Amino acid sequence: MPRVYLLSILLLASQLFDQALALQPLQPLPQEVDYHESKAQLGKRLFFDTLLSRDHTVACATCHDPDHGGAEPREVSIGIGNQKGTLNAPTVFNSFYNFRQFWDGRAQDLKEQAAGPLHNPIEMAMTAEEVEQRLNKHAEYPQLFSRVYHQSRVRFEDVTDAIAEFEKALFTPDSRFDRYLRGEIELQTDEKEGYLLFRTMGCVTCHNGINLGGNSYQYIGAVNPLEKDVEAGDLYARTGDPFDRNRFKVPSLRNIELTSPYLHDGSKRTLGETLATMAFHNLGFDLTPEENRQLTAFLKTLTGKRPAILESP
Amino acid sequence: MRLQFKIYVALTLALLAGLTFFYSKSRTDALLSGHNQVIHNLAEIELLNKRVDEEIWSTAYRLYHNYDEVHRLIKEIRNLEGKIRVLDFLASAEYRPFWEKLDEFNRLMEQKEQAIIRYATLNSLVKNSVSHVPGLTHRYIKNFVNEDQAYVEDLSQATSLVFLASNAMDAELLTGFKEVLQRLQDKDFTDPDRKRFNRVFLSHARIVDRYLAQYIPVFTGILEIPIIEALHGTSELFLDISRRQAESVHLWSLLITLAFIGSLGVIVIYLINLDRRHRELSELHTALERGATIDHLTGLQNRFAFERSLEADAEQALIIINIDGFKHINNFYGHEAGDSILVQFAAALRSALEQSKHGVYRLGGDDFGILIEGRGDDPAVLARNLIKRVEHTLFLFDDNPVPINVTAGLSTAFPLLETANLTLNQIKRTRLKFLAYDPDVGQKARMKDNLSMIRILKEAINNDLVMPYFMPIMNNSNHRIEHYECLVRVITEDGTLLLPNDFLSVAREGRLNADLTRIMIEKSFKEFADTELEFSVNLAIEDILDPEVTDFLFHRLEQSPEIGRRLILEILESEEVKSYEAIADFVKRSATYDCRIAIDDFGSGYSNLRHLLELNVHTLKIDGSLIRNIIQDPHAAQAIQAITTLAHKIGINSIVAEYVCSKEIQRRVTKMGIDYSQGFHIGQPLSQLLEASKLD
Repeated sequence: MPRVYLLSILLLASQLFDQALALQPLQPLPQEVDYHESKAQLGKRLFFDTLLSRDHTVACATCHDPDHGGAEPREVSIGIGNQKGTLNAPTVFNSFYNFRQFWDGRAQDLKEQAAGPLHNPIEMAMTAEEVEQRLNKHAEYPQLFSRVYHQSRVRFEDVTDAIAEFEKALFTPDSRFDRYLRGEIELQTDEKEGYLLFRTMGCVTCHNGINLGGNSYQYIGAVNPLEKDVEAGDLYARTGDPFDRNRFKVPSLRNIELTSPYLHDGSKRTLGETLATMAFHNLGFDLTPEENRQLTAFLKTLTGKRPAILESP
Repeated sequence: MRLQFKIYVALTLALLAGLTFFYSKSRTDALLSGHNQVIHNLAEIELLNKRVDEEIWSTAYRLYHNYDEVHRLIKEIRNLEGKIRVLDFLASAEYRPFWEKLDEFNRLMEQKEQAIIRYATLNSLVKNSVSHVPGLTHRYIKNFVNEDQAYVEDLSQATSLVFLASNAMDAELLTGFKEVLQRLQDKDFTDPDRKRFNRVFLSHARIVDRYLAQYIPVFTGILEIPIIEALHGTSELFLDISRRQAESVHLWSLLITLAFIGSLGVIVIYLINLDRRHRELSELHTALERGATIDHLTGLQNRFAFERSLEADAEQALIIINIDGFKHINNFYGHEAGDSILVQFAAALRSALEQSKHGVYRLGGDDFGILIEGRGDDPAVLARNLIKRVEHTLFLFDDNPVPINVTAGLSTAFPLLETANLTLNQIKRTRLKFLAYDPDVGQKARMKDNLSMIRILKEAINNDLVMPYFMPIMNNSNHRIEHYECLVRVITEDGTLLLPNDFLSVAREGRLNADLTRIMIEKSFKEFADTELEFSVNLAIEDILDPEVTDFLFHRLEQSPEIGRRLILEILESEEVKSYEAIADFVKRSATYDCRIAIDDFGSGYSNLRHLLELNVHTLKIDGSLIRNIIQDPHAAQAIQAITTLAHKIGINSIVAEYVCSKEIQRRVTKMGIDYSQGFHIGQPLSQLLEASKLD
């Protein structure tokens, strides 16, 4: 009698799964993005310019390395005067599609985000006025800005606007997974199995949408709590709400193959380690080596084309 | 002044109406388009809000779902709200309550978004574990043998509770769940695999236990946020304010209409006034015209009316009838009688022309005109009939008959009045009663047009085209040309030679006579200076009375003292001598230069013998009209004989016969003892002097 009961439950549950599997919650990136070319080009120059940091040592690109999937190659980001930060800077690629910016989501959009590191005392440590002063004194910037923004002088709001426009252009289309979603190619067996695991194991409940993440806040250690609460960078640090302890914006999984080290503190160097950690703490499971291999194979299909704007002169 | 004022009033009203119309139209348009956008955006927001709720439902229903869409929808809602907030017309104070409502909506939306973000965390958490609980139970049954019946039952009970509560969205259905979890917790497994399994199962079950109770109120809370109510309230308030705004716009259009009707009214009043004035003016005009075109005395149309009846292209003829000696009637019977005659005369003409359409006019004084239109009647016949008719009419004054005779001139040539008058003047010199205008006569008359002659003369004087011609005069005793008469000639620019008859009277009128005479004196003196010949120059009485001419003459005589004795000054006999003393004086003065005096055209006028004697006349020139008739007219011959004899008797030994144009005449004048002869038989006037020669 209990067995029949159990079976009926299982039947119902599996029906639920089937239905869910039929609906794909993941979307491919667009192949073309509309952006303002001259603003983006100006933003590109600013993005790579150390002039924007107090001691001329740090540029946006220092922590958001375009040759490292747009992310921080070191464990945690290092600002001016070699000051160590607390977080591993997330990738700038496709960040336009995130619903909020920063690990704690404190910026509504890229423009707002760009001002963050500029003002952060251990990152670039510049006031808006200092930025304006430096750019207005520069040999070339005043002319470049007036050509694009038609203002008599460089304004801070135009600086962040241009950087945001450049970042909008940093999209990585045509990953193998996107092409699979569009029905252009078939995935290999491991990759396909990995994708199935990604959904059945529950990764997809948080890593969904166009960026496979970046559209909700979730706990790290949701099922099996971390040995120690997060010390900085979570929502709690911003809001003081106990509900927000260990709660972060879910990072995007796109180009994850390129953006080691992983997690908010850059504590995991490989995808395998990271998968094992996430599976244990957030899903309650220990992955078998095969499962780990298959999930890794799937994650590697998320690497897209390097943004075209980086190649242009 | 009043008209201008009215026009200004009408224009001002129209301008006001126009401005108000455009103001109200632009206001209405702006209001309408803004109004539409607000209503549209609010409706759109409501729709999007429903889709947000649908997304929330979808995430609740599905084990996993795409969170992108819900954030995209919220962003779109904010975007639409932002578009409402930038509308200019909403800045006015009337819309302040609307802003409060919109802010309220904004606050609720903010609340909803925060709830959704929290919900997304709880949803992923709960859904993940809810999905794992049955799977783990399945895995246990599959993977582990010698199963512990009670443990399986606990797992199964936990699974069913999770399933029930999560699908029912009712945390209260988890009754007994904590006890089950406690039993599982208390289970002490030695097999590490079973131990691990139990731990995993428990951790998922605990998440359900811990978070489902939080998850459900957050979920229902999202759906219960009164966004729709806030939107409806906002819409209603907005419509309410807009209606009030529309009423003020309506007031404006009412004002426009009133202003428009007002300006129309002003224009209508003005038009009515104008029309009345126009009628008054046209009546006045008719009266004035009648006054101006009707002759008061006779009731006929006057000269002014006549001129208005002339048409350039029409075939018209004019008869002018003139009462002969009307001045005499006036003088004889008095002006009253004259007027009465004119009235009766007009009546007679009118009755004579009763049957015709021809206009009868009093053209002035006793001149009456009949303007004949078209070719119906022969104008000449009509004119003769009219003459007969009026001359047979009995005109009376104070019962006394007044005899009337008339003369009529007819013309069909342009200009009618002038040509008909010309004709009438021609008749007056004849004894005719009627004459039709002869275009040739008219042309010659134009040729002789005084003004053009004066112009020709002036040009001739200025351009040295006044010439002396020399008429030889023969001594009848020795047949020698001893003498020349200098005759004035004018050559026109086209080379025509004009004789004194053509221009002398005009020259006298135009006061050019003196110039001609001066030129003649100058040129004749020059011509005869180096000869021994005698010559004569003609002087008019005006010349003699003109100090400019006489001074010039005497000045020249003084310059050439020897010439005076060869000069004969011919004075025209026919001239009326007004100041005999002046002439006598001139003659005396000329005598001091040994000049001699000749009387020209003697016998044609009324010179008297006493003058001949007193003026010490040297020469008499017998008028051509007598000499010409010397053969056939015995009276002329006798008169010539008498003049000659008499002149000789009183010591005038130089008698000249003018106009000697034949051998017979020459023979006759010689026989009569006339001393000299001139004329075409002797020699034509020439521009140069002849070699002194003898004639037979």
